Amino acid sequence: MIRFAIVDDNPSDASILSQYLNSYFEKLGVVFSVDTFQDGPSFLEAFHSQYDMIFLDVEMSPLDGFAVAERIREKNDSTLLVFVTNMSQLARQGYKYQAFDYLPKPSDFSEFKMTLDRAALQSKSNEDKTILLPGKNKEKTAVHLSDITYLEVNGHYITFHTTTENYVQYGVFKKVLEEISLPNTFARCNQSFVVNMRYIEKIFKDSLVINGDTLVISRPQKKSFFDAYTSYVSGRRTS
Amino acid sequence: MITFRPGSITLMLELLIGEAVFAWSCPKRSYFWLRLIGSIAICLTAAYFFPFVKGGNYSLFSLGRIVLLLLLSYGAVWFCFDIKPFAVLTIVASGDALQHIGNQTLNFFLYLPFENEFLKFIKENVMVFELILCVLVSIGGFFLFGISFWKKKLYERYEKHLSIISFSTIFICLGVARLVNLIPGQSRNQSISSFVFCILCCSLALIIEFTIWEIATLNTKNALLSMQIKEERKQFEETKKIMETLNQRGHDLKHLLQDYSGNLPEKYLKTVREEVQLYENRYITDNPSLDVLLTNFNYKYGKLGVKLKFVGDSSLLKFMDEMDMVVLFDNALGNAVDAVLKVGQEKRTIQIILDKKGNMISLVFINYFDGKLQIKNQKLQSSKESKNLYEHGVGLASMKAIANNYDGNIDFYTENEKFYLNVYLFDNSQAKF
Repeated sequence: MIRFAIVDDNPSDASILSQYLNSYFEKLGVVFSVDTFQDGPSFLEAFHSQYDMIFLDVEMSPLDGFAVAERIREKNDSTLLVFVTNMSQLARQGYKYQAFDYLPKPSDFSEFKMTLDRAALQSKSNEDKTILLPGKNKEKTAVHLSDITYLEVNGHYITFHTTTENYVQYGVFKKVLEEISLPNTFARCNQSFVVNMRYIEKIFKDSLVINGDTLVISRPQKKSFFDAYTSYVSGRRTS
Repeated sequence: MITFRPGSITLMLELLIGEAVFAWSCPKRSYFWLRLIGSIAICLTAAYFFPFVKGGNYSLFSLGRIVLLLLLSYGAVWFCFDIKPFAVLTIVASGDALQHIGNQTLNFFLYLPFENEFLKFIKENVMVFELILCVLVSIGGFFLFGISFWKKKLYERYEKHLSIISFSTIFICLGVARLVNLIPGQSRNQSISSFVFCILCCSLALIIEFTIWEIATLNTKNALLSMQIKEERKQFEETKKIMETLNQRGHDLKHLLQDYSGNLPEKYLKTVREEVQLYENRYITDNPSLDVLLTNFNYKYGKLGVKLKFVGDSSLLKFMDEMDMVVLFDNALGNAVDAVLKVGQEKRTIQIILDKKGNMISLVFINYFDGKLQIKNQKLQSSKESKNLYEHGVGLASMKAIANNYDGNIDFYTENEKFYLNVYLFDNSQAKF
């Protein structure tokens, strides 16, 4: 389920966004939830990193959208923030808070759809699937695809690096990849590594940094990897 | 005494096969098959009836024969294919080079200083084997040169001077090779050397010709790109000046509105407010050149209902040369606006997304389109009717060239009625870590 929050002191604007969400997900048949808040403090009180995406009105009182964003970023770094404002010049300030996008007021459905199309790929819910991997005591542990940062293969040993710990599975890499059917947020950067692009911290011409580890981008994989990453930024659904 | 030799027919056939390697991809004239059958029939008949004088100077007749056959094949190619005379000339020269390589290769084998059953069989059926060898050489020529001739449409991208140079190169090489071949009383070793010399001359001539051609194509592309960049620089400078005036005007109007809001007729005030709104909607970011571009775009196409949204921190593009950025955005937005003007008002949205990870900058242009975009062989086919190269793909080529300058590239795809142009670049001005 994808979770949204709308923080807007104008109920009619919040209602329009809510309707847009309904229209968007009705067609796709995707389950979602939306919580609406009329000001920053009430939202912050309820917020504990549970949302995939937050629509934030910029001009609110007593806390404006940027102040709320600052607090969100203090708590959580991955929630997608979309600023909503009738002063698009103001929205551009939002990139200080790693804003995902902004929507002008009033925004039409086509603009909203463009934003959601991109967000659908980059939100964690895109990787809702769980796989079973052998844990420390060789007991199978359920791991969310969204928690995998990258996969590493060494002979027939495949290491699943996650945000918390690593799991090692024995098998043929190609076959394992086919079985778990990774979403296209994953891309191969060289023969031995497949990375979850969400967790990439830095990209250079011949290497990338993910979860603090530096991995080589091999010459044969360069073009396909860079294309895959740009497609990820653009919100492409199919590979 | 005058006699006729069927050998000329084989030679004519070999020439036509060699020329077909290059001519086949060219645009064909109407009633092509009729023209082809007719011209082949004329060429072969004329070749058969080419007279030989017994006891006369053979080398002179041989030269006369090859000139006549080449002229005939020139006429045949021109008659069947819709291309310019200079392109026909190059096709004939290249075809002759392939024929000569095949012919001299056979001679080389025939003069080898040993005998076996197979060589004996070849000598008994020399014309058939000459034809077979020429076909094989032509197939090789097709893979080495014919494919690039066909794919790059070299027949329409040539310059007269370069055609004459490449044509002359081939014929000088062929001429020298044939003259060497005609020296009487040569020993076996001298003959073998002259055959090898001929093969090398013709191969080298073909390589030189196609290299010159490739260079000419690149020069044409470069000239067009330079022209485009020059034109865009001019437009950008003009736009900059207009923007300064508009900003001043917007600023004045804002004050006018404040000072006279209660004293002026509402109709006039409405116009002033709309103008001020345009001024207020201008882009103000940390990248003034980009501001000019985007604001100008809004002024121009905002009236047609086109909404432009820039998502990202524009200061990330400051590492780019100003004109590189202008050309890149101008082309990308130009393509996008062409596409959105063909769809309904509700879909006239263009989104630009800018993202940075480490040194890698991703720039994505997204727009709705009418679904009629043609993509062939991973290349975007323009819907523009003009066949002018400048309009037909130079835009994409210049964007790709700019991306390449920053160790990046461009890519595009369509999905759910949307067109995505993805550009990635590397900011090499930054330290790696």
